[in-house]
Amino acid sequence: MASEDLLGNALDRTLLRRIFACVWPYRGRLLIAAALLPIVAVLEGVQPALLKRAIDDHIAVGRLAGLDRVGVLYLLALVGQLAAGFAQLYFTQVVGQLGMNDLRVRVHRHVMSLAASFFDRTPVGRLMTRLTNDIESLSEMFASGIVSLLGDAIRLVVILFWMFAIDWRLAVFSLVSAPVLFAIAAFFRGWVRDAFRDIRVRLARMNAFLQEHISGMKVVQAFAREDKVAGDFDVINVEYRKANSRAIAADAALYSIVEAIASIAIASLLWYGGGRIVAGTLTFGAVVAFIEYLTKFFTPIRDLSTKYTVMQQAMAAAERVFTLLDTVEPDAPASAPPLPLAGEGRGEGKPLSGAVRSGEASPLIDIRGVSFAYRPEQPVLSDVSLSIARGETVAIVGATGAGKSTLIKLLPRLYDVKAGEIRIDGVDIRSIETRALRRRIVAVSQDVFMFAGTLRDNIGLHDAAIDDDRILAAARRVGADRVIASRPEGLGARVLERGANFSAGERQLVAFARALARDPEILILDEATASVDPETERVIERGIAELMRGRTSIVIAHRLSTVRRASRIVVIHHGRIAEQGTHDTLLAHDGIYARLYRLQMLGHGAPRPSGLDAAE
Amino acid sequence: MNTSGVILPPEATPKRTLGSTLRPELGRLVLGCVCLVGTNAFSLAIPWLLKQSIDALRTLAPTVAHGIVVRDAIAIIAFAVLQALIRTGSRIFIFDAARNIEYGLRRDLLGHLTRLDPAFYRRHPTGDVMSRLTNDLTAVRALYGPGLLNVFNTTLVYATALALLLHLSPRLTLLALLPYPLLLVAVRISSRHIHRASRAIQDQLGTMSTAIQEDLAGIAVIKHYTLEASRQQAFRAVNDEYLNRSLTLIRVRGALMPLFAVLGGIGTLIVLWAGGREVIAGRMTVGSLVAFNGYLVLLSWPTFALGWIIGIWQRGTAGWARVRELLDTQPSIADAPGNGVPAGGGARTPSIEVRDLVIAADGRRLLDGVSFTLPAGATLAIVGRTGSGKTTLVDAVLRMQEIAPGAVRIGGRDITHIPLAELRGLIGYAPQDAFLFSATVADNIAFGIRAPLDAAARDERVRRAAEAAGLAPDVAVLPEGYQTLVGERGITLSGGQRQRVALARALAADPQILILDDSLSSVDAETERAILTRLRPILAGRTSILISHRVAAVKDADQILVLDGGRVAESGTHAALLASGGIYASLYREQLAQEAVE
Repeated sequence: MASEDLLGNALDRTLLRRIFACVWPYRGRLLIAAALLPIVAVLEGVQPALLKRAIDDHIAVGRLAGLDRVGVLYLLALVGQLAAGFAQLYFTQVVGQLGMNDLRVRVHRHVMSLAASFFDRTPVGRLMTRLTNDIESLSEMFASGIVSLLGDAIRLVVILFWMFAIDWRLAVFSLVSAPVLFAIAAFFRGWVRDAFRDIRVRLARMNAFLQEHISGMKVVQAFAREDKVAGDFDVINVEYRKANSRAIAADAALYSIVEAIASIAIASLLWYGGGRIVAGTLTFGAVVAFIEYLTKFFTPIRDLSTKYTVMQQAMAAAERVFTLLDTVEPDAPASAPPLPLAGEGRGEGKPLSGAVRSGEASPLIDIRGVSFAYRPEQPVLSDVSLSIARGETVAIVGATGAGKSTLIKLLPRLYDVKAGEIRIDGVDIRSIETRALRRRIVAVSQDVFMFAGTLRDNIGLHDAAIDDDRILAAARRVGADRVIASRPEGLGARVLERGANFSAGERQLVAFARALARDPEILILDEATASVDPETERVIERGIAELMRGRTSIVIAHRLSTVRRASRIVVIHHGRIAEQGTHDTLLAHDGIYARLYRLQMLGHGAPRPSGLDAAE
Repeated sequence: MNTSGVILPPEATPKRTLGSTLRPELGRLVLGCVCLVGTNAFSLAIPWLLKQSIDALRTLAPTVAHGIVVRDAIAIIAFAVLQALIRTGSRIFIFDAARNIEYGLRRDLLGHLTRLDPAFYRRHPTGDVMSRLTNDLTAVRALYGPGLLNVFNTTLVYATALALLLHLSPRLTLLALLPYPLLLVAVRISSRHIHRASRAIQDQLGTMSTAIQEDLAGIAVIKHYTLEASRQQAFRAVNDEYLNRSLTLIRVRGALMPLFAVLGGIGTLIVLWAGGREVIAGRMTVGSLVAFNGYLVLLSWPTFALGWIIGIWQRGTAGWARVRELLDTQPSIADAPGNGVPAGGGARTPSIEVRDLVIAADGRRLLDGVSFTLPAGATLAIVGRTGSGKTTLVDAVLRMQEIAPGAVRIGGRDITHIPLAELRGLIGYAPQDAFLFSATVADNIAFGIRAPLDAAARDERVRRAAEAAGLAPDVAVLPEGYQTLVGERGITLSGGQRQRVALARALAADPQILILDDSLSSVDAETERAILTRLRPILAGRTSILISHRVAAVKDADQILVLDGGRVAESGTHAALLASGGIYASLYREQLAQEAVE
């Protein structure tokens, strides 16, 4: 997918800033970690001096007295250094975990706020990678003690100072290696970064493949295509391995070259310094000191180069995570309500809590001039206008793909209209708070999803207001009580992932019970729910009929009985409303409906005339 | 992994150990370790050369010293370059070996997954299974890569330093090593704690993956019912648990490293104290003591690194334990030994015979003694209430459910003796929930085609299957026709369209047995009739099983089976069942009345 494979072009600086913004709430601990750095350095530095004192002042001169005290001081310095070092690493790691914990919650919340259209085109496995593997990668950065980089930088500056203090010419000569180091770092940066980006992309692909094929393993096995799937996966597996090989090579080369440069720099210094000693322009002691400093100089450099790869890896992961966080595709975004039409004057522009206004004779649902398309070149609905009064049951019929299911998705604002407006109780639904809007509407669609947990959770959905009595009552009305009764644990029966331990028909009954337990103001029913036997269908029908009584309902009708029971039938044809009326008036009208009826195209969905798009 | 697709029973599969997975990459690993030896040798040589030059400058005449210095400098430079090469080599060899092992394990894991039965997948959440192939394998790979490299390096440095120390003064060396037994004890105790903490983290990673996967897969329901808040709360709880477990590991592991280093420091102190007395007593020179201390310092880094290595090791073994759990799960539906050779031949379209089939799960009997005989080429229709066991029966025929030997025979052969690959290759199956893959329409329809066909022949089959399934008009309006991408990364088809793609998929496989589970529920009566008409020649002379709730689909079947509560309540032809006035008659009373009116 293009958007996934595009290289993120976020600067490292920006990424670092955002990463640290994640840990900013915990900066106290980070500051402590940073403050411990000089302590560690001092205590570390004091140890060789103590050792020297022990040897020069005591052992070498045979003075045993006081040796013990020096020894104790040494141990204290060692313990202190290690304690401080541990504390510093500990705090850094803790901060990292805390920060990543927050980030994960943030990304999860953001993803759940994205629009249905985003999920239509993004594989689940890819999103899982962002939330798990990529954020894990980021936390590795903290686990490896990123704060010590600061210490490295400070150490470098101090050493440079001393070097220049002793002999500036030597210092300059020693630092000839610096531009070389920079050049190498720059060269490798591109190589390493690309390799890690590649790795993230291929990991996402691997997860997407796994997710999909584990979900569909039954199909794979039913057609005995295990080998094919293994072969397809192998391609992805190999790509992932190759991407890692590239990163390994880059990292190994970088590390080794930095080490080599260190040795070469020291050797060059030796050569040059030795020459100057011979020429008499430099003391022996100065050269020895310089060599020692240069050696010390390269220790933080070495540390930096090791951490460099870790950083690049974290940056690559951060790119992915922040790109996701930056995705602007909000679910039902708040927008300025359109101006009221001429002659109207009710309740615009004010976010409603969704309270039901009683005693209104005006239409509950008012669909005006609505047009919609999933893809710009394939319009699904064109200029649809429909008014539904409170308590009315409207059956929508027409060729599938004519836009029936789409109309139903527009009401709870899963998708927003491209033109026109939809009003509920006179208020544009875009002005109503989304949550309030969706609580008033319940839609039962074709795809029934059950959560892992219990039957109770799947019907009541953890809503405190829906107790067992209400659940059982709802279940009884649609015949789902049979499902509950068939399980020894009743409502407490365990539901496996996706409801795999329930039959398709049972899942549908549960979905109905779920909808009815909510007792919604507006019920939307996509009746392509025919995977139940005729007897159960009768029970469902009775329950739904009872439920629809006095409740505003929209039904995408597939059963003749439903159509005939509706107070109004709306025929959608090619994305437009072709006819409206009761069963008898439409038959008399002898138009599309009459034809559909005569050709028995009404039960179980409808045929697909040409010229329709694929997405409903 | 054998290529005939035969699934071996548990006893025949060799037990996998962490060590055995290393074997294929042993060559590379050895090469890498050899390079490491070289690297360390250079690491010792360079400071030694440096020391030599400095001593020369100090003690010898300037011109003589200069010569030595130049020679040593050139040598150091040469060594540095060489060292860079073999150091790069060592890392590439070892890390690549680790990645190769990871690749192989993942390949084997997936292969294993494809052989696990549906019962396994019902019990194990998808997210957790995925986590084993990603997070847990990553931990194992870290063990092989950086873990192994550092273990070897550490061992080398220890060995070298010990050798040098012993050379200088065996007695002092022993004293310096006094705290090390304590170290070993600390290692043992801490390893256990770290392992437990690591395992807890890996488990929670799996749980987290499961939660995320469910939130994403069920996003439609979540939006419709405004469940975002409750799902977020649930996720936060899982997330916080992960945080707690991570912090536990940080604490346990973090306490370890300084402990090790302190022990090493105590060693230095002992040397100072004991060595000091030796020098004062005249048994040792100052220079030797200084040198001894210098080498002792060499020991400090590996001791410190030991703590880190233990961390990686425990996390790796924790990950491996979870990978092993997966690998050790044997498919409960497997080929018996002696199933190896597909019998082949046989009738073009076999008969199906079910005798006293019983299937129980979760304390219920899903099928309670079902028996029927379906002659070759005949069509069987199965009807019954929701949950009466229809799909379970079909699962049994496909052997997606484990069954007793002899309960189901196809073409006279007990299906538990037919290799699974052969059995399922015989059957074309359109399941109730029409699962499609992220692929083109053509690829989805062609999924079941196992025979090697050239592109033209394949496309022809796809087209004919699509037409028979009533899909052709829909495909005509798709943006890229049969090449349109559908599924997760492509267009979302409607439920009815998905169902017909699944139907076409079963047809395209041109199987000897056709099983259609509720394949026409999302089309209207007219389209259903049209599809059934097109299906008739396909079904004629091909053994088929149809599950449906629609009389139209069922009434022309050679035999109708009415299931009720897992038992066969009635069976016979449409006319016979109607006449007998039983469940079938009453079940379809209304539908039949409807048909009569028109």
